[in-house]
Amino acid sequence: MPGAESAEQRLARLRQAFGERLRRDVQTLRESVLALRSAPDAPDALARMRHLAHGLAGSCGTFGYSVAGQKAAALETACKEMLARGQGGIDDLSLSELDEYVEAITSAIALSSEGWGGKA
Amino acid sequence: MTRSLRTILLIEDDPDIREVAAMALESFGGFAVTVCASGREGVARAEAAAPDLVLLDYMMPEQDGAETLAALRALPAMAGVPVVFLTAKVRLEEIEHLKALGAAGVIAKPFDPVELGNQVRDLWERFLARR
Repeated sequence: MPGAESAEQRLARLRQAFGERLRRDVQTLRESVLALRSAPDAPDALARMRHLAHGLAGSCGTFGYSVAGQKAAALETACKEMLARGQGGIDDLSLSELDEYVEAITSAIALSSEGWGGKA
Repeated sequence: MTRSLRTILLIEDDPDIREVAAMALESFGGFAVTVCASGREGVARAEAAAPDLVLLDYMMPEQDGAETLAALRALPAMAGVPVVFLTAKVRLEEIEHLKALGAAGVIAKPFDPVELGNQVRDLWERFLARR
């Protein structure tokens, strides 16, 4: 019963729920890179990635995924720089770079003690 | 006589951060928290909430933290209420910019939920000491 939960139990429950969000967000990041691969001028794909990365950069550490948060911050910076260069900035090299950042986030989550909110 | 910090208006668009911050401030910090999901909602509910302090996310869609702070300051009842930004913008020049906007302080994201209440209380005491 939620009302009977201690603060620590609530925190643990919130951390587990955040793990589920992480799984969804990383999947969305992967799909965004795929969308950019098939159409480098895909509207909003890069901006969506930046927005998601920003959210993860600011939240992962709070829920025990500090390294993933740092990787997300790096992805946010990369997206920001690519957006500043315009659509011409999304070449194969940039796409590989984005892939690497997303995989780095995935690896950091897998290595964190909490994993995917307790479930892989 | 020192005023004590009892009530906080929390304005944060990220649902996970909103929930964990509210829980942390209530359970670990012992504060009464009014929770808002956007700058507009925060401004609309600010006077009724009558908070001692506002904890405000900076990067929000539609109305960001700077715009929200300006709108809060335009409310007579909120003119003297300290506003603390909750933000990932923690480079020195970014912090100085936020303080120049009128912020009483900045708490970096990500934050430790167990420590959030202490961080807020520390900034509150510094705010009182400056008055």
